[in-house]
Amino acid sequence: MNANARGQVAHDELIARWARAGAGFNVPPAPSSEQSPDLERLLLETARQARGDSRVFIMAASWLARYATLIAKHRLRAMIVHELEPSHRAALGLLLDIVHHKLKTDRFNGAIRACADSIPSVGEPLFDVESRSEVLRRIARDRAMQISLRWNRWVADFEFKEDAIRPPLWVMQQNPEYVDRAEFKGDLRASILIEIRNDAEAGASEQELARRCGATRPAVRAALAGLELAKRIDREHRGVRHAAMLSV
Amino acid sequence: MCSASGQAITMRHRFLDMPLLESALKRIGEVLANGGNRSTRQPAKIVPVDFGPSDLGPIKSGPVESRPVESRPIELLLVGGAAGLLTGLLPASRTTLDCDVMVYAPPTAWHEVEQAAHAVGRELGLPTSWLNSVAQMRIDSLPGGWQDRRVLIGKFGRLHVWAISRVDLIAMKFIAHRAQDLEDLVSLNVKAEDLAFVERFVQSLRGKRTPPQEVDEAIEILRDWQVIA
Repeated sequence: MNANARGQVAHDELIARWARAGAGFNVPPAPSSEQSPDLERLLLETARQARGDSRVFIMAASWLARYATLIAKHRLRAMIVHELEPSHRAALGLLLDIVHHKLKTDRFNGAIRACADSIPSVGEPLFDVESRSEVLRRIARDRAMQISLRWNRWVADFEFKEDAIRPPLWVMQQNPEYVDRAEFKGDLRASILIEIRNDAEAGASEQELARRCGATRPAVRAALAGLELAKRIDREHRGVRHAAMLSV
Repeated sequence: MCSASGQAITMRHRFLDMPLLESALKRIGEVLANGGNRSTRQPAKIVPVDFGPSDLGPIKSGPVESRPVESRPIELLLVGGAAGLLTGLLPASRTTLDCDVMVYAPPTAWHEVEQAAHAVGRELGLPTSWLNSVAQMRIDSLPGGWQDRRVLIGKFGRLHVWAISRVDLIAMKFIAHRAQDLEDLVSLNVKAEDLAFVERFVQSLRGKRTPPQEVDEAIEILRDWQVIA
């Protein structure tokens, strides 16, 4: 399989995962036999592929405008720092900043700051199709919304496609794994539960959880105490460590 | 199912894909055949545009006019992504469809169609704005002669649905020239003869309702567009 074909497969998978999360693409959603899309990882992958498909970017922003509280914000910030290549951080920062400005929410401030460390020094259109020539680049620059100029990735203003996003009942029925996210409104407790569910080793110590979630150990300890009281996790001493695991 | 506040909660929320769009248009035809939606809802604040006799196409001829109003055909012209998908010009795996309608003929039919579309939308669980007639405000962004090039999608009772042709779709995409339009233009594999046609048309927009800057930019992009042989 050549690079183009691999890129197309990756793009198709991205679209199918967004469809499963509730974005209105004309493709079958990722099958229900698979785990629900990992939303933070989906955002990272969207940033990587945004250049080639403006509609993915616009749909991701529209989805975030409706379901921002499902994003585990600490985990997202940590994944930007540990996993997202610096060359794609401006795209993600811009995506989150657009939602931040239009919704007047500070939910993504930490993630936006993590992306802001990698603003490119030279401005250019975010989307490849507008980089095809100098004329297109200039027009993209002239039409760019102010926020995008700050990120040096130019995007014209757009409206959220609210009608193209599935309602909460559909999203939660298709993705029951998102209940924790909704219940804890994407705060640190949601990040911790997602990490432990994805990898039992994540709960081996508070330190490991703090690293994975991009939070301080005291904050993780407080969140774990809350989760334990809510009977969502069990904790046990392992030598000098406190391990956390999902309650059965 | 109802919530405690009485607000209806429904799981029925469907996106328009091509089979559903065809079903919905067919259903509008059936609703119109049954006398339309008789609700007292007032029309939205969209002023029907008089497209002039040359734009009315087949329904301007005598025999049609002699029929009762309720039996005359109503013609819709689909533009934008819906037109591109229904004619197979754009890849099917795009985002969900908005169904943009630019021309109703006769011009007074738009309210009747919109009411029927609302009823069908409720019935099929479609978003309220699935049939969007805002585009009729920009009739001057269609090249002359479009009615000779349009593509018949289907006749559903009184409702005759057409889509704009490939070259007219290309023209509209150049005029809009957002990133998503440019991506569509790449998919449409624009040819040199398309560019020449569209430039003549875009030049003719000067002094009309299209903002001069949009015209200037569209022409710049047209002259700069790399045709792939």
